Amino acid sequence: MGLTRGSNPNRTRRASNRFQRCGRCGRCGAQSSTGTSSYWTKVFGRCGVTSASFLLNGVRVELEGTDPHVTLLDLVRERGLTGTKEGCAEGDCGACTVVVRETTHPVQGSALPSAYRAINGCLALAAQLPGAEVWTVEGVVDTGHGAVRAETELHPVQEAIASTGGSQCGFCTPGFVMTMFASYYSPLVADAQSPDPGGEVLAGNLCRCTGYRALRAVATLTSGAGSVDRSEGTDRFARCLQDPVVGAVTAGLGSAVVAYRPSTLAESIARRASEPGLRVIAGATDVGVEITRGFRRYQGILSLDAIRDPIFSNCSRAEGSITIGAGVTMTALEDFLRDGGAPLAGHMLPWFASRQIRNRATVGGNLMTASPIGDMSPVWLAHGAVALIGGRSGIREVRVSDFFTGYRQTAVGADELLIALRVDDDVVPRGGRRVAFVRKVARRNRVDISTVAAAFMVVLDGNERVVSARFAYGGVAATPLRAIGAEDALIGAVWRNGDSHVADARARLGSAFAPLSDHRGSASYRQRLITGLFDACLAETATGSDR
Amino acid sequence: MTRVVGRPTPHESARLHVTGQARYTDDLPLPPGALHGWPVTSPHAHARVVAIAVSEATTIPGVVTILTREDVPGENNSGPLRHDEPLFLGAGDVATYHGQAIAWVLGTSVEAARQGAGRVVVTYEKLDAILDPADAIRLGSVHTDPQWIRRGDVDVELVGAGEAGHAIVSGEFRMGAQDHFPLETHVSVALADEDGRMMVHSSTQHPSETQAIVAHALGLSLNDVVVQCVRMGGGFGGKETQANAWAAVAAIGAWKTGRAVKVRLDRDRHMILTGKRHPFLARYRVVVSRSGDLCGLDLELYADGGWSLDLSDAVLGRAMFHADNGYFFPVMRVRGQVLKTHKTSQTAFRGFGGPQGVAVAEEIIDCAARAIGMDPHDVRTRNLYRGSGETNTTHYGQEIGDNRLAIIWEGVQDSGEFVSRREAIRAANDLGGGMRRGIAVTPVKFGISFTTTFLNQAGALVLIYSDGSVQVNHGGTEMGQGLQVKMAQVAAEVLGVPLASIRMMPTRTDKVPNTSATAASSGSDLNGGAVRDACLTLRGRLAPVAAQLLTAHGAPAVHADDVDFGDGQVSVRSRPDQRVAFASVVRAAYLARVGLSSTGYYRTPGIWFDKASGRGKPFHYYACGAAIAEVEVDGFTGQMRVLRVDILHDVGSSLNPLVDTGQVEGGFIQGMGWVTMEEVVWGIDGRLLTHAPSTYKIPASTDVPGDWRVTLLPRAAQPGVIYGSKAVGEPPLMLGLCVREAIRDAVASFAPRGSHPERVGLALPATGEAILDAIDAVRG
Ligand SMILES: Cc1cc2nc3c(=O)[nH]c(=O)nc-3n(C[C@H](O)[C@H](O)[C@H](O)COP(=O)(O)OP(=O)(O)OC[C@H]3O[C@@H](n4cnc5c(N)ncnc54)[C@H](O)[C@@H]3O)c2cc1C
Ligand code: FES
Ligand code: FES
Repeated sequence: MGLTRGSNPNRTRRASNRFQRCGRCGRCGAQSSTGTSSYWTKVFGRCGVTSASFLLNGVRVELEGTDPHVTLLDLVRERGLTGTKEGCAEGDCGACTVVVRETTHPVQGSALPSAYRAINGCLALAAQLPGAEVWTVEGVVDTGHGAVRAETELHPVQEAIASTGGSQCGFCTPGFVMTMFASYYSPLVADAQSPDPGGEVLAGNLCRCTGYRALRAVATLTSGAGSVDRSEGTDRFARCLQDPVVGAVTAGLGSAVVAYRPSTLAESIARRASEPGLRVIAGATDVGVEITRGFRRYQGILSLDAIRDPIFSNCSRAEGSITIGAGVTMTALEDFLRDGGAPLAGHMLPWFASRQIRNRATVGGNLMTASPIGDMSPVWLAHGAVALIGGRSGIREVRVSDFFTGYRQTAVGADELLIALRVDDDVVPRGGRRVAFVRKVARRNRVDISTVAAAFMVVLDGNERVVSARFAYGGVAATPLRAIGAEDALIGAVWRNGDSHVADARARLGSAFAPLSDHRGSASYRQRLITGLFDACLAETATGSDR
Repeated sequence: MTRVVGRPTPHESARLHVTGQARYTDDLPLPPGALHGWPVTSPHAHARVVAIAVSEATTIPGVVTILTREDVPGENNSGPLRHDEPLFLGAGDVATYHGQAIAWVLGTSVEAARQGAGRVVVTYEKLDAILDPADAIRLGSVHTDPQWIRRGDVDVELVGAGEAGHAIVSGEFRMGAQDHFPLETHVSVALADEDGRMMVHSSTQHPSETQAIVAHALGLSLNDVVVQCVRMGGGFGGKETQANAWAAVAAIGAWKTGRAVKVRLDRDRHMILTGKRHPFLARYRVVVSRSGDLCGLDLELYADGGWSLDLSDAVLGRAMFHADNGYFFPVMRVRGQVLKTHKTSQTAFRGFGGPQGVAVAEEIIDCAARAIGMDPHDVRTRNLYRGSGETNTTHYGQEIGDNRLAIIWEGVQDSGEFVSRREAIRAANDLGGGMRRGIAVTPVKFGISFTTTFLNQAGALVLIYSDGSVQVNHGGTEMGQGLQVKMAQVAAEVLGVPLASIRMMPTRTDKVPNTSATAASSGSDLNGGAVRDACLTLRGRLAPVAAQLLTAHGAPAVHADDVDFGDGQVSVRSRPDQRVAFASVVRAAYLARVGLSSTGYYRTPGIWFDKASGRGKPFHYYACGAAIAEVEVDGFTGQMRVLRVDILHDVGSSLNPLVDTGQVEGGFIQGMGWVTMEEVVWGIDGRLLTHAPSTYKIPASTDVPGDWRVTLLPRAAQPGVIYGSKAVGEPPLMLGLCVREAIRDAVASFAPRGSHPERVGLALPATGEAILDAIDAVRG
């Protein structure tokens, strides 16, 4: 089976109105002379005029008066676009997957200015929509008359799924189509290079019927590992990738519940200080669940996703350290770390949620949840990272080891925001090496909450003696924690099974925490994992040990 | 002539699925003024309702009314067999599980109804709850009297075992529940007709029963209620009875308000309110000879039925029928009973008790083998049903007849390189280390038919329009299993028209009455028989018309028996190029006043079962298969990966190999999920702790074996079934059990070097924690 673009059905439709003048202000005169205009440009131009509206399958949708809590899923279904399904409303099943065209991450040069990314419609809030360009399954094939007839040519991804038995009950199918649609046009290196590209692409989409074989086969082709002709040709979606995206617009929604979406950090901090009742959101993958499953409603929402301050929105590299903006998404971080830095983070990210979630979830939002079972917190703890916290009087630094002040509490004040994380490289003595070990133990290998997560960073000298060690765990206490006693015991030990200091450290690990029992695992299991992961690390990384 | 059956034809809605155009019940446009329901639920697993105060709820904007017990015009019950499932509870009634609906709030939006439900104040008097099956046994909390199946006298066998030098191995084994987790949750929309009759759209596997429950709740006759199901977003048995209550609530709401009412359970409500696969508790004593022959089995099976009976008695029955899996036990006694606990009412789930029976058989084999120091694989091979007569007859007295177990058993091991891989794995494991591999093959033999004999009937209604296009109606429902495409293939084959001429209609109770649930894997056997019957009737009427058209002027008359229908044409058999278009024949028939619609009917021949004696021929035939799993287990954490799976499965002469392969694959993964990661956890207060995909994990794309080889048994036509095909829905689920046995094989390798553990206890589901527990136990 192969995917060919030769006969894409979408090649000519709408070509006639492609040269339309911007409909928003009429001043900037934006129109496409090359004929490769995006619909966004078509409707709004690039004048930056703010508007509480977004583009849905190329059609402008007004948001004026919409409650910022409303989800994109509900918005599209209410408009009769019922192809997008609700399977859980908590980001776990992918039935609601839609695609957004976004600016390519500023963190790494990409040949194209924009990319298609799959997201969970059930967690994207109206507050985050102004300026967005959203595609649902109905937009993928333009039938012109609303119904799919026998003669309608499908998109290559749709055709491949339909003809190979990729759908049974079909309820999950639109979500799978959209996930693969995104990877078809904008494959991610991380997926393509993984040992199981098809599986990775689809990890955020559950199917209860098919057993995934046919779907994985199609996704392997779209993942970037397969051979797909991605030349632009006549494909309207490929052509659009050349166009920049206007992106997040700082518009309120004009609804009874206020929604702010500042474009600068200073404004965001000021707003937070002046209106403490606002709920801050970044990717809203955590807050979204509070709204959809916990039925929470807030006085107002302060969305950070339009901020364009480099320190907050980008990653940067300096001699011996990297700085990661709090507003950087996990997908962008994954991309950035392919060039090195924070190896523990790079190893953990494939185990973090799904692609849809990683496309939205931010580094800052993750740390700010202060979740005892959050997966990146042990990583930052083991890296000895430093949090940069911004308030009205400037930026202060707090070590991540001092960041969690209690169960779901952080050192960030009510009038502050988390700005960035800095990870300084550990200095390795000449002839020595660095042991970086990450493991997440959960009921399922992907898209699951940790029972226990561990991140270890050990620096060894040329004689395999431990110079420094940081052992961090999630899932074992009320906050993510380091096992300081065990770390201390290791200093000077020879990194191998049998060394008495190593044995001492292991014993200390065994009594360092008092984990709880819950439906994810008993206290006894967690206790055994604490030492088991240490053993696994030793077995994997000590020289001469057998696995 | 091109055959239509037997071709790998995509699902008839595949193009609608991928374009998002396929409509599910939740996608139907609602008429103006439609209302939405949200339940007020019990926060206790067992409590008496003292009082209900609804007045506060009515203050919420958008709340229209609150449905309570007093609003039910007919019977306040949705129990399918025993009437033990009140739809609403009032003062004095007793809530019997956590999450049980007490009342329903109707609002102009889901949000309004939900907020309203939060304002309904119910006071309770808490009662003691029974949650653990062992407690239920001890306290005599049961739904049914025991059922028995006996072969020979097991007591004699047990007493004589010592003298004969046999071992007696005994144990207790528990199996966990499983949530169906269809991606589509339960949805019903009820619209009152102009004269108070009711139209209900429901995601139900059993429209006729939904119709009956709605009619009873409204005090109407069956002909007053029409139920339609276009398609479901997955069913798996979870919508066989469990859809009824929500349809009834919607209908009562529509009755009371005169407005359309939609009841859609969100994912959490779906999981908290509805039944699951039965947890089972088994106690066994097995007699095994020193050379590994199974001599006798004494088995007690307890199905944890939850708060109401539902279909539990039949589920238990099927577990008892399948407690032999594919193995010959010359002497056997099975006692079964349904327990009553304060949990969701467990229900049909793909396999319907069969998986629990099969799992018990595999557990017993493994424990018996290890106890006598044999490889469980050899004990399996040794004891498969074989030959003819007694050794090929089940414990309930049914001859297996054409037994394909041996061919399949050998076949999958040959193609799956079982022996050489096992050697390699043993050698690798002997080197020690934290990562170990395991490999195992397990068979499955699954009986096809409803074990309640009268359910094995089906009807169809086929309409031919004057242009030659065809509509097919039958009683089966489409939930993804590909029933509609198979039925279209059958109709197209019989009428000799292209698939494109056939339109499959939504399942409606006003087209075909008194249907059975689409369940027991029987959908295409039964409905296929009925569709074929209707099409044969129509073909019989068209043939003389065609013969007349084909008779050349002046030539001898073509006889109606001498025409063939195929490729959209009717031709003279001896002169195929002499033909006339099907549409022309239809047109001529219409003008000649020949009836162009017909019902069809089918009932499975020759099946019976006598429950009192525990003997009979409950099954029309058996569907068999076998699978090999190779896994890798992490001795540090208990984590597990499935590396390779080989499957050989018998679907007879497949009606549609694309659909059937998909059923085998999907069934396998669902079974694997049940025995590995899917753990339903109830808290000590009876609260369901795993009620969403964040906490309840079904297999994801990354859990399927990287190397996965699925083969359908070739040359396997099944006599007496539609076009020689076999049922495929449920049997492959049990193939997933090989993963658990492969894990057990890997776990056993952690025993101290040179020793063989006498028992490898492994929980079902074998979660990471369970695996680590098992490893720690064999490490000693
Ligand atoms: C299906 C699913 C799977 C998941 N899997 C994982 C997983 O594998 N591992 C894991 O660790 N987590 C997981 N999560 C949790 C969640 O997605 C992550 O924690 C995510 O990183 C949160 O980031 P966000 O930008 O979406 O946060 P949001 O939801 O926007 O915000 C989270 C919290 O942080 C605050 N906040 C956000 N940014 C800032 C800032 N700059 N300054 C101050 N406060 C701020 C918000 O007010 C809020 O309290 C999962 C969630 C879902 C829905
Ligand atoms: S509905 Fe399940 S992920 Fe959105
Ligand atoms: S086809 Fe039914 S859930 Fe995927």
